[in-house]
Amino acid sequence: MSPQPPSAGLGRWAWREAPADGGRDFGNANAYATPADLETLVRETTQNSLDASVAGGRVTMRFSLIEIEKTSAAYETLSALLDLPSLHQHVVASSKMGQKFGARLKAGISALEKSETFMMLRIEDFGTTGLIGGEHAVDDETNPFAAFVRNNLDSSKSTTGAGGSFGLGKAASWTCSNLFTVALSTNVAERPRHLGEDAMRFIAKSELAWHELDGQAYAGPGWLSDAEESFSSSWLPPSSLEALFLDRSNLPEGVDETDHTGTSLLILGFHDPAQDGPPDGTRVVDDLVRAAAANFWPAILDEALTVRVDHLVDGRCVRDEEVRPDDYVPEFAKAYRTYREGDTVTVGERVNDVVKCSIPLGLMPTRKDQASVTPIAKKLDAETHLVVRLTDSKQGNGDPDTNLVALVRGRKMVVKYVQQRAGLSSGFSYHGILLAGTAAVGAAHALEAEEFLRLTEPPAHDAWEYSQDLKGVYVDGTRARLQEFFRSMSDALRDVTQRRDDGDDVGPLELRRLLTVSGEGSPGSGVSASLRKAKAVVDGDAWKVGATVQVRRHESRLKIRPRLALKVEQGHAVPLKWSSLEWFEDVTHGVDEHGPWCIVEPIVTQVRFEGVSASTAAGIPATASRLSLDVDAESMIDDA
Amino acid sequence: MPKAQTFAPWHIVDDLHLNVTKFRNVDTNDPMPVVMTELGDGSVHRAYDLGRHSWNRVEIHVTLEFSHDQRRDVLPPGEDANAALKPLVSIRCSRTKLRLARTLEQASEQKWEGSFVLERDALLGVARIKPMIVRTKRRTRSGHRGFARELGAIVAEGPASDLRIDESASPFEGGLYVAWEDFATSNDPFRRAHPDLLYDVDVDWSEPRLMLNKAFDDVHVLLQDERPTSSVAKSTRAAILAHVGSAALGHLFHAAATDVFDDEESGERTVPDGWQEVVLRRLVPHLYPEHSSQHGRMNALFDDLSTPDGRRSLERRLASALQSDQLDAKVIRAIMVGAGS
Repeated sequence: MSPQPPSAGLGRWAWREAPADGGRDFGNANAYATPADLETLVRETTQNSLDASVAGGRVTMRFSLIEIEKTSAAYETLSALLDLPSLHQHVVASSKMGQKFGARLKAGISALEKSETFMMLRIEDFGTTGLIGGEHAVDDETNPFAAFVRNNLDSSKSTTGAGGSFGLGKAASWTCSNLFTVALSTNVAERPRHLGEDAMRFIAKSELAWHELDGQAYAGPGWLSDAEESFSSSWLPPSSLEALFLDRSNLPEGVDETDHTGTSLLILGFHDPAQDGPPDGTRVVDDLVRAAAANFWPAILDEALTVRVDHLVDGRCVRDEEVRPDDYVPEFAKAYRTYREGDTVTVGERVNDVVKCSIPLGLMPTRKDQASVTPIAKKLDAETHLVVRLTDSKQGNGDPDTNLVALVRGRKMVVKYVQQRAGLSSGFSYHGILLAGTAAVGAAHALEAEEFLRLTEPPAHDAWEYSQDLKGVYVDGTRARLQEFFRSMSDALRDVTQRRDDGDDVGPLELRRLLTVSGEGSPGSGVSASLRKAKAVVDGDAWKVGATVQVRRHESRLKIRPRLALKVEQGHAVPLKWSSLEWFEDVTHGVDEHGPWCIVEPIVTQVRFEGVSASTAAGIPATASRLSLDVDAESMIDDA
Repeated sequence: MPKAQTFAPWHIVDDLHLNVTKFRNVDTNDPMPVVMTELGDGSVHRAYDLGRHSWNRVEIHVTLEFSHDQRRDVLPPGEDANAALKPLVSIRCSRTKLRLARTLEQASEQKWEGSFVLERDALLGVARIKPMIVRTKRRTRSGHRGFARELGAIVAEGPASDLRIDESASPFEGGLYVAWEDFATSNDPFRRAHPDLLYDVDVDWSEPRLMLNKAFDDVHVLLQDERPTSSVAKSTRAAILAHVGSAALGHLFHAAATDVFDDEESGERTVPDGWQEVVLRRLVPHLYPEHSSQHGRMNALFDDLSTPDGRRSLERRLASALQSDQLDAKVIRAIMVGAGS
C-alpha cells in the first residue's frame, strides 16, 4: 500500500504498489473490450442499472453534462475535495510510460489544459440497489461494490435476464475520462446500522497504467479513499458531496423518495471519444438522448425505465429532456406497442399492419457437468417472436431504420439492429423486432432461450453469435442451431413482407433449373470403379468388410480408396474409419488423412481388400446402423 | 456392377410401401386435392405439392402394408409380431428440425393406418414422411443371430415421400428462385444502386435468388418466350441464358464453397444440406472428372479449398466446369443458328 499524505479533501489518494515480480501493466485491457463511444457508455451504464433495479421495479436514469469554468470557485472547491493536484501528478507520470495508453493520457491532459472549462458527465440511477456490499470480495463471493470499484472481469450478476455478464462494461465510464478517473456516490438500500439515515458511500477510482513517481513504482490504479483506512470508501453526509454534484438531493421529475436509492457516477474531465477536440456540449446531449432512445425503447415503453438528459453550465440548467422513443424510433415504438397490446395480425395486407410470427430457436441439450444454465435434457425449440410493421417501399427509402430488425431479449435493451433485405420491389418495406427469451410474451421455453442468448453475447452485448464458451455448456450443434435461427428469421421476413395481391414475376425455367442435379456421373473422364463380391458382417462391435474393386481398362495409374460410412436416419452418412485394411495384390499402398489407399498400374483391372471398421463414428456405435461401402478411383494425371 | 453397397447389421425389410390416401384442411374441414408426382425408385419416391394450397393445419391419412412374409423376414421363429413390433411414420423437416413419429393402428391382418396433423408454422421448405417398423421390446432369448434384438431397432422401412410445403420448394418450379424486378425501384439497396445491371445473384437469403432486371423490356420479353420463332431470337436467347447461367452458377459455386464447414459432431468437412450441396453436387463431376465417386470428388474439392495453390487450380477447373455445364455443344449450336450456321 502506498497512501499519500492527508489533504484537505474528502480523503486521500492511495495507489496500488507495483507488483514484486516487476511486471508492468500498461493499461486496463477492459477498456479495449468494448467500443469507445457515447452509445457504448449509455448501453453499458443503463444495462448495469436495469440489472440492479430494486425488486424489478422501474429505474430512472439521468445523464447530466456538467461544465464549470476553471477559474470559478466551484472548480477550486471541486479540485480541493478530489485533491486533483495529487491526481494530476500520477496522471502525468503514467502518460510518460509510452504505449497506447500513455498516448491517450497525453492527449487527455493536453485537452484539459487547453480548455477553459472543466467538463464532467454525471450518470445517475434511481430505484436501484446502489453499490451494496463490503469493500472487497470475500472468497468466491463478490458484490456490486467490489465488482465495480475493485475487480476486473467481475460482473457480480447472476440473474438470468441480466443485461451484462462479463464485467467489462464499467470500463466504458473510465474511457470517457481524460484523467481515466471516475468519482461515485451511492445511496444503498441496505446500509451499515451505525450510520445515519442519509449517509452516502463515496469513493473515486483512477484507472491509470504502471508508472513511477518520486522513485516509487505504482501498479496503476488508485483510489481517493477514506483518510483513516486506505483504499476504503467513505460514508459521508450528502452535504459534503454537493460541490461534487454527487449529493443526489435533486431527484429527477417523477422519482419520489421511495426510489431515491441508487448510484451517481461522475466522469472527471469528460470527453467524447468519437469527437475530435473539445466536446460540443449540444452534440453530446443529442447523442446521449438518441443513444438511449435507440437502445432502450423496449424498456422505456414497458415503463421499466425512464431516461432524462440535462446540460448544466456553471450551475445553470440549459437543457433538460426526457427521452421519448416516439421522437427517435417511432416505427419500432408503434410496432412494439401493437405487440404488447396483442393487436398484431398473422398476415399483413396493408401498410401499417403489424404482423407477428414465431421463429423457433433450437437449443441443444446441456452438458451434464455444467452449472451455468438451467439443464436441458433433450433438444428443444424455444419460441421467439418476430414482429414486423409494414411500411410503403417508396416512403421507406429515406428512413435509415427501414428494413432493420431489432434483436431484443429479456433486459429490453436492443442487442443489435440487423439489416435484412426485404423481398421484391413489389413487396413491403418494414421495421422488425425479434423478441427472444423473456422479452417474448408467453413464449415457450423463454427462460432457456434467455440463458442461451446471454451466453452468445460478446463483451459489448451487441450480437448473438457462436463462441467457444458455449461448447462447455451445450452439446455440439449449437452453431448450426444459431445459423438456422437467423435463416428462419430471414425466410419469415421474406414471406411476411410479400404482398398477397402480387404474384412474383417468375424468370425463365432454364435458369430456375440451375439448382437441380440431373444425375451423377463423371462426364468425359471414363474413370470408373465398382465393387464385386462385397461382403460386410458384424463382428463384435465392428464390421468385417471385404470386396474386390473392379476398374475399367485405364491408361494411367489409379489411386483406389474404399470408404465406409454409417447411414443415419436423417442427413449425410457419417464417415466411419477403418481400424485395419489389407490389400491382396502386390500394390503400392498407404494411409493418409482420407484413409487407406492403394495405387494400381494400368495393366491391373481388379484388386481385393479386406478390413475391419472402427467401432464408432461421431459417437454412433458402428453396428447400430446400416453400413455403406463405396470406392473411389482417381486417375493419377495432374491437371486432368 | 454396383459402385456402392449397403449392409444391414440385422435382417431389415426395405420395401415397405406407404400410401398417402387423404389430405384434409383441418380449419375448413375441406378435402385438399394435392397433386402428386412420382419421383422414381430412389430413397424418395413421391412428392406432394402442398405449397399450392392455402392452409394452416393439414391432416394426412396414410396406410401401410406389412405382409406375413415380411414379418417372417425380420422376426425369429416363434416371436409374436404384434407384441414385438410397431409400425410408424416418421415426419422430418430439416429446415425447422421438426421430428415426429406417429404410430399406426392395425386395420386388417396385413394393413395398418393412421392420421396425423401438421401445422404450417412448424414446417419450412420440404417435410419428409417415411414408413418404418421398430422393435418395441428387447429380445431376451439368445440365439437367432442376424435378427434385431434391441428396443427401437428398425426392422423394416421403405421409400420416403416429400411434402412440398412452400411454393418455392415445388418440384414443378425448378430449384432456383428466379424473378424479374425493376432494379431502379428495388427494395434491395445494392440493386437500387445498380439500376443498369441485367442480373444480380443474391445469396443473402437462406435460399439464393437470381434477380433479372425488368427495366430491360426487350430482354424480359425475349427470355420469357420459351418458344421464339425467329432464328435470331432463338440464338440471342440461348446466348443470354448461357451467359447468365454461367455467371450465376459461378457465383453460387463460390458462395457454396464459402459455406463449407468443419462439422463439430463428425469432425469432417461438410457442405450444408441445402442449395449449397446441390450446387456442389452439380459441378464436382465437371470439376474432378479424374475421380470415379462423389465422395472422392468432394474430398478433392475440400483439399483444393484448403490451400492457396489448390484454390488457384480450382479456379481453372471451374472455368472448364461452367463451360461443360452451360455451354455444351448443343447450346453452341443453338447460338450459332442466328449466325446462319
